[in-house]
Amino acid sequence: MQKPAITVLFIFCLLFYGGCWDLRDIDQRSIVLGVAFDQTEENAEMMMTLEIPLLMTINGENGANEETSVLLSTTGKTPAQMATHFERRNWRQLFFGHTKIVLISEALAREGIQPFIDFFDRNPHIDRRLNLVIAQGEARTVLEAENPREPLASVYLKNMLEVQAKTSRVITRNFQDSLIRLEDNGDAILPRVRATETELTIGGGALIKDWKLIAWLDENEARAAQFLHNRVDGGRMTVTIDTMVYTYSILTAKTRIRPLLQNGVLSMEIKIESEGNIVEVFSYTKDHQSLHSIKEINQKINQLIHEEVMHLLNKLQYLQVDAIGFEQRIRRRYPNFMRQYNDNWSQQYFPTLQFTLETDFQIRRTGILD
Amino acid sequence: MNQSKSILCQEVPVLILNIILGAGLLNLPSLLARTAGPDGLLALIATVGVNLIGVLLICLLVLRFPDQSIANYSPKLLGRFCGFLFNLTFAGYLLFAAAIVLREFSDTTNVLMLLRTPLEVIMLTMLLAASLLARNGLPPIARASQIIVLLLFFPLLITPLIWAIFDWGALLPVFQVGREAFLEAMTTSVFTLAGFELLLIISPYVLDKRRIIPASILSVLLAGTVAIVIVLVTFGTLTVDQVAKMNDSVFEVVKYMPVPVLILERVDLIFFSIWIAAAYSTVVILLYMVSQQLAETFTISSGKNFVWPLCVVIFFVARIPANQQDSKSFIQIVNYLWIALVYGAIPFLLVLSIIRNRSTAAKRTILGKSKRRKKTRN
Repeated sequence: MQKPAITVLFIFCLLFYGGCWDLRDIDQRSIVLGVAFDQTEENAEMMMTLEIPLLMTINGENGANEETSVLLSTTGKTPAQMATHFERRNWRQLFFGHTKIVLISEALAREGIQPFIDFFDRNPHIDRRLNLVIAQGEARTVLEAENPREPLASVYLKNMLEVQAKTSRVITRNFQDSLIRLEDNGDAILPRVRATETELTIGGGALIKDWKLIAWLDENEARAAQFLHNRVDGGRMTVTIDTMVYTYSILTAKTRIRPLLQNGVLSMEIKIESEGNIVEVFSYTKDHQSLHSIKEINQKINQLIHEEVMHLLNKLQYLQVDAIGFEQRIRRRYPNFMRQYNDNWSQQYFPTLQFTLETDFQIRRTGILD
Repeated sequence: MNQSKSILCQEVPVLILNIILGAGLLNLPSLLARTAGPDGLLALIATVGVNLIGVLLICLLVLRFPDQSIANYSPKLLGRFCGFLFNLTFAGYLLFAAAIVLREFSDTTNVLMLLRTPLEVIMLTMLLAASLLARNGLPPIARASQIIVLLLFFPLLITPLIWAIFDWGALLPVFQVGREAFLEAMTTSVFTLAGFELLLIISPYVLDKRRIIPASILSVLLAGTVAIVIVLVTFGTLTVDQVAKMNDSVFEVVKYMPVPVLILERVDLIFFSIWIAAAYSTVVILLYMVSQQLAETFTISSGKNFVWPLCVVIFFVARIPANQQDSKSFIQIVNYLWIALVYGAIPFLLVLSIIRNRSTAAKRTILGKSKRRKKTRN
């Protein structure tokens, strides 16, 4: 009697283990790779565009010249409402588990990016390594870019962000990185993208203050921000001494930021260390005697990076944007001191905060030439 | 003692680790971050220290009655009626604890994985699967736990990947919350590390009881270390503020962790599978404990026949909380019950057993003296 009962029980269990309610085959899902938010002419609403890959054409079943993805757009007041609109037009369930990119247009970002965050932050399937990117211009145009070598714009952009991180001129903050900064004080630097019909350009960054886009950073400023974020993982810098142009390739870089409170005066100590190689010496009149010593080139590189970082810090202070998280560092180290500036840090204290910047860039090798 | 029911002393830490490292650990960093901020980590370390005292108290008590479980000796210490009531209350606590673990598991599965599957179906599936093992008694549970415990240490292999996003500064500032918040963090986290009360039931079946104290302390230390590492990693990667707003922050760390190869892109699913095994072993052990406690309370030789009726009761109890907020209140009640048991009832029983032992020894001495006097008179 007992064995048949156990057998029946097992069959009963197996029925449930199959996941009857949540079983969705891959062809029954609309895998959303990219999401773009744009402003519409009716200001009360916004437009959401999704990039959904066509799995059959990616597999090559329908021929090589077929479309590889489809862009769907709808308007609405909230991301969740717009996602519901899509589900009315599409029997396949939207799945955000493989979303690589969330794009917000410049116009919407200037009004505030906070309302777009919650939908993704709350979704249990979201990969927190996705990228939150501000599009210079319309966000939809980024997903519309048709590069013949890149079938899916979202994957193209994601790969660009990952590979070009090596150039150090791109902001490499993913969704969770950005969220940590944004939810701390509303300030952050996010990646920027610009689109033409066939190409995407991702240099520079978008400066966010109180969740709103207030300025763009150029590529040098983005590099300085990357150093301050301690996220530099390669890249090249050129310095000119007399008529010679030296290109320094970064092998390693490390930044330490430490708040220091002495006699009631607070300052930030920043130390940037890097090692690298000279990969090119460019000159029309090059001869062996005119080459500069490594010490001289080191000095020039250090000067260049010092200027770049100080320029960015001055800009952030001028705009009263603590996008690097200095306040958070001070709060962690000197919590009692920070309590008196809790409400007006950005306006009152941050613009006058002193920075002591030390750079130590060292050339290790000069290639196979001396 | 029935030899077929006995387990080796080295299986004790395995069972305790399996019961502690269950459903509740996912929620632990968030609980600590909400109540004590960065000081939550220190509160957890203090909790592990306090639990070491708790497990030592239990060991001292069970070693006074090496061949009996708590259901056997509590009537001797408290009197028949009070002992019976105590045994029923303990069984009730275990039943509620099993219901909570089941509900926590089902809620998390519902949120993270099976969004459309009814909560009841997840609970039933888990209960049915758990009941099969629980009915087979202690040794098979111990053997299964030995396999599962290896899986529980697998996530530690992936921790080097976290180094790239780990920030020691995120653990600061410390010593910023008041005593009350610190104690609140300790009391809310203490139940997450509960489970070593298992000794009260399984101790008669453990061979080589001399090693029960080091084995139990080792298991609490190991489980505590795993919990501390989990909280440390979660705080250091996501930051305390982010952890405080999340419900199951441990999975979010996995989704944030940089992975080197594409095959590990959904590494969270591997973690989820391991967590299911951990929750399963916790439910199995709790189900066994409550059935055994009831069997011994009613002096029945095996708790096997209690398992399925108990599954029905646990199912209905687990359905009581209407939402996540209700579940938290429910956990709080069982939390206080556990504190009352380990730090109230156990020391009381220990003191009683010492007093009873002394009075019995004194009686024996008096009786011995009077007998000797009679002999000398004769």
